[in-house]
Amino acid sequence: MPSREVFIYIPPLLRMLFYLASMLSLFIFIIGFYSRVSLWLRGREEPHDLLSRRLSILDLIRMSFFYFFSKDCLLARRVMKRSKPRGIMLIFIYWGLTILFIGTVTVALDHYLGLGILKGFFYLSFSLILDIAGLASFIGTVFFLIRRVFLSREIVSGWDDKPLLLMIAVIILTGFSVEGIRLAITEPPLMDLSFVGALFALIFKHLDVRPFFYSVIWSIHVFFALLFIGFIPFSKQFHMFAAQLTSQDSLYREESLQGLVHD
Amino acid sequence: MTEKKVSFVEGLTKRQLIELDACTRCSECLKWCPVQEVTGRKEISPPEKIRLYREFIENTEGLKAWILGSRIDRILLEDFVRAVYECTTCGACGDACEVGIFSQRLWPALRRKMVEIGLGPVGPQANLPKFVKETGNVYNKPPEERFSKWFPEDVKVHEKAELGYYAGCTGCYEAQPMVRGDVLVLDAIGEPFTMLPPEEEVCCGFPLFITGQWDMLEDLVKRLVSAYEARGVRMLISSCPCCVNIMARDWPSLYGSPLPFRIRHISQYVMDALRSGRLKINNGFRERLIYHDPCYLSRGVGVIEEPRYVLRSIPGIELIEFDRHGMNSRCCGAGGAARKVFHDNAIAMGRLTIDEAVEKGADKLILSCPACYSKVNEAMTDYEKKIEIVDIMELVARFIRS
Repeated sequence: MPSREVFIYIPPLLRMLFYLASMLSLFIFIIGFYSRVSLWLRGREEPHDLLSRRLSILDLIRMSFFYFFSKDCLLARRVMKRSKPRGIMLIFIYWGLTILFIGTVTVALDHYLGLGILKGFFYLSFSLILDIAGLASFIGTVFFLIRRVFLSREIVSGWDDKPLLLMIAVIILTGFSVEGIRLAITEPPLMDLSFVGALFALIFKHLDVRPFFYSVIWSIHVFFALLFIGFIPFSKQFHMFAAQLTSQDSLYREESLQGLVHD
Repeated sequence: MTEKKVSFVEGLTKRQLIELDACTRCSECLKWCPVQEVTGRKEISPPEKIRLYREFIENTEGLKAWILGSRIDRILLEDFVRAVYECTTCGACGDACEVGIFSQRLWPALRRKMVEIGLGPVGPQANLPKFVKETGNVYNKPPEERFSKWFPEDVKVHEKAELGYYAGCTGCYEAQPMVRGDVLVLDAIGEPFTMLPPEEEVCCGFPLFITGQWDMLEDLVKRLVSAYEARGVRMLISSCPCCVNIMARDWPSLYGSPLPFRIRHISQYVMDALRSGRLKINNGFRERLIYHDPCYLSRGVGVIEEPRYVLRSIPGIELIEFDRHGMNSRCCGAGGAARKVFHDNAIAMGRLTIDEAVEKGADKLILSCPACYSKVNEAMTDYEKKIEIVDIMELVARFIRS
């Protein structure tokens, strides 16, 4: 029955390093997140302002989380209104990375809780969806990277804009590479369903890759992924939380605008 | 050179602090920013201002400051001051903003911070508090001349009335045909209205608010609100979008409680009068009019349809639109108290408005803001393109008096 072994070809020492690095990355993320949100909470209160009321960190997380799944956010409506290509590419990244995140959580739950759900038809569908998600987020990331590089005269970029996009692209590419190497070595049944991974497998098959190479690419993938997570609160990427709140507030503002000098 | 122990967080609202983190630097706003349109300088663009300010916070109060110590680059700070004051605060960037940053409110708050740390305001803006203190207006003109040069002799102002009219400094000293039109139209409607004596009708506070000099605001607002309340005012109207904006948005918090009267722009009041039949415009003319939405009227308080309704009530006219109108209108250059400091920018922006009005074949350019009125007229001086500039109430007054 089609399935895959987690941490295949990863020696125990590397696994341990992975857990330590994950904890460090998560720790840095939490500290950074707390430090940034604490700063917001030091802001002045304005009773009629949705975001400037008396709020706790939990309120902000709740508001941000719920808006994440609103139609506006899911369909990138505000961006779409201004530019269809950018809106579509944002949806690619947003949906792609969200699905990849859910996928990773599913793998973790399956592995640690021993659920055994990732096999057979479910596993094949899961692999296909995750491949589509990875491809979509890669296309979106490359689009925004190209935009930042080639439209640099029209766009304002900070020092972290291009490196962050490049980092996401590297994470996705190394992710597909890891999948491709595994498929090239193990050649599981119906592997073509993971069509992007299978494409990578074709290349790696010609290169005659070994499990050691897998662990190297996997380490690079993990390194950048964990670096990215830890870096989120210290970079522009924190907009993924802040923009949820301001976008939500702007809808409220459009309504409240009418209340100022209109009955 | 470095500065220490300056809080860039205190004083901003929670929303504004979140907004600073929300900017993705997508740069959509650059397409709509009028200052970008005439200068093309990205270093003074909205995302760059946000990026710089965020850097000030990180360098003084963030985790970075905690680890490396609080430090700030004075040169960067001076660049920021120039950028934030060169802005007309028109808010077009906020309208275009894909993450909903309310920039029309953010920029004044950041300017206030610059004043607090002694780097703002810029140029002659620094004189505004002194002028307001000494003369009650931002133009340093004698208060006794506030109404004397334009107020029609045959219009009666009541001692007490439910309707109050606030003329405003810019209208009284720089756009007199406009405020004259206002009172002629009010007179024609016939409802008794009251005004404060010239020495009591002091600045509404907007120029001080917009330049970040907030010290006197509370006192000014309390004086004005108490004076109108004593005259029995239940609705206060003004033709100045900036005055209306601060009255509706900030007067309640500066006064400390809800205002005892409603705030309306004159076009709203006139529209109601036309609808109810209290005002009739029987005469008209066959002309093409183009209406410019003032930033603080459209984006500021959402008054977009009312001026158009008033204009369409004039028989025979054809109303045409700028490509950018309503919530997306383009600043004429007069906003943000930048017009007297960054004069060339303001003139260039004013000429863009004139250019489009002429290209579209309009016979008259209709404005409804004294600052726009003053600046666009100035922009037409020594300019090859010409168009008649008329205030909306000035125009209405022509037809009800003829």
